[in-house]
Amino acid sequence: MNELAKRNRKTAIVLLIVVAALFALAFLEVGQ
Amino acid sequence: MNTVAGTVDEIRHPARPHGVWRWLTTTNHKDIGTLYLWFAATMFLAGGSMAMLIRAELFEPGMQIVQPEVFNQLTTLHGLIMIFGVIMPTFTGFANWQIPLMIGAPDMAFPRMNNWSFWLLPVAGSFLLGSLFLPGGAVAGGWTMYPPLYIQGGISYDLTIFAIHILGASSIMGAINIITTILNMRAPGMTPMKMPMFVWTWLITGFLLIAVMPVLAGAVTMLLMDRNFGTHFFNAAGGGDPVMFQHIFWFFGHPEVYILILPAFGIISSVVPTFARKPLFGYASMVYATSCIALLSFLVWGHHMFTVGMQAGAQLFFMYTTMLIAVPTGVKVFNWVATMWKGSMTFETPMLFAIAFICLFTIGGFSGLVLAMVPVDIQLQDTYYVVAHFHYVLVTGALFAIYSGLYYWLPKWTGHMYDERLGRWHFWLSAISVNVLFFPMHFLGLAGMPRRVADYAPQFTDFNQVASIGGFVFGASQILLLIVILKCIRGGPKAEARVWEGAEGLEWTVPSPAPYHTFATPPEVK
Repeated sequence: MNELAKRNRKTAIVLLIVVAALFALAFLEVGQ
Repeated sequence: MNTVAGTVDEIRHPARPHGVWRWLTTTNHKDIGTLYLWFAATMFLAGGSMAMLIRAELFEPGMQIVQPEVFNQLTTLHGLIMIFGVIMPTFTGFANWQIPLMIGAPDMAFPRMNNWSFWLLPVAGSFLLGSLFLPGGAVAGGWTMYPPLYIQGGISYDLTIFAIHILGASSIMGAINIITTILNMRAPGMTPMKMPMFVWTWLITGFLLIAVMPVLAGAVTMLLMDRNFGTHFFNAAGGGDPVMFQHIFWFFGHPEVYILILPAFGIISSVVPTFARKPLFGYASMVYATSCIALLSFLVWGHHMFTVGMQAGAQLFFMYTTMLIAVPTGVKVFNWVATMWKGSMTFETPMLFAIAFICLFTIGGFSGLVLAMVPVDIQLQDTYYVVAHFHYVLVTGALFAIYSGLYYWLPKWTGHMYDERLGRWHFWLSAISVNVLFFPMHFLGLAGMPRRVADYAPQFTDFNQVASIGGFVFGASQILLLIVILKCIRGGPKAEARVWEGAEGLEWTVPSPAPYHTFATPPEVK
């Protein structure tokens, strides 16, 4: 995998983690 | 030589399939951009037809054409389709076509995910439209999906919520793709502060999508669980809190408004300098103003809920933060006007729509300020004043910017100039009729006519008839746009690489139509 593809993959993983965290946060907020 | 080794282009890009298979399997950003735009056009026809039915029913008091429950289905679906099926996909189509061309990238960062992002849309769109034919008809509880209505409805509510899930997944994938492309794939020398404003606005929109789409997904997942799995997140009978849904929905919903308008700002910031033949006034302040609008958009959701029941302190907070958004928005409007100031202006169709955008979007912004005031909002909430406000923002705002961008980049996409005379007819008919359609709604709202009701008291008849006539003319004049686009695709005067005399940017350095593969070798930006 070339350098750019690695960098793209890292960026996407970070963004996906943010997405998952916010999805979970919505549940936590309502579940309180 | 080519028969043995093939050209460099053939080796990098093997022959693509033809026909339907090409469109199903394409990973090319231009193909996918085109798919987004045609999908949005189809949904615009569906959502627009619903608007025509709504205006026909409201032409006179009493019930004439549809039953009240069908009317509610039409207003709900009209909203959902126009937001999720028209404005958002159109801007994503523009992003697919333009962002790689503007930053000198060969394609999007994740071309296969790009294909997947698009092909989820027709599935979701057919769920939304198909729900009309289910027992009990489509959803009728408003596009905001509030419980308890959305917990109590029939099977179409499940289908619609599922469609929202799919649309959300598509938007999140699209946003990841766009952000990654902009962050990692800019041509050498293109520093962030050299990026075109359209790219900046889309970068910020991408982050907004990443921040709010999962929240919406969470909210509608809980709704689905309340409906099907016996949970009580929003069911008051089981100890849940329906108002909590509204908070979560509008935490998504208000940034969503900026998701719908920031790319429009980017288009206007591209068009105005071109036809004023001057660089954009205050580029850096535009970037900061856009970021500021995006940040403030997370602090204003309560202004949608002033009448739900809220402490006075919270009302004041949301009122002031809402009013604060007028400051960066004012910076942007000032900068567009300053760009035109003493410019060598010409008034081709893209510029006409851009100027109309600046004037009419500002009206929508001002009526937003009126509604931001708590005592006024308590009087005007759920009246036609609100309908007038958000249609000025979304039709003369977002849609007019889309028209401006469409006329601006159509020659680059098709390789032909569009019919300028027809374009101007389309502009003038649209610009006049849209005001005849939406301006009287301010008066109807001030006089107390409620929204989302199929019938009304006789004193509202005159303004409703004026609005309906405006609506029919506006609807009919969009046929002109379709004719312009089809004519432009089929032929017309050859477009040059730099279509507009005053246009600046990498997209104007490639031939028109833009070749299937561009910037395989990154350009150097000085």
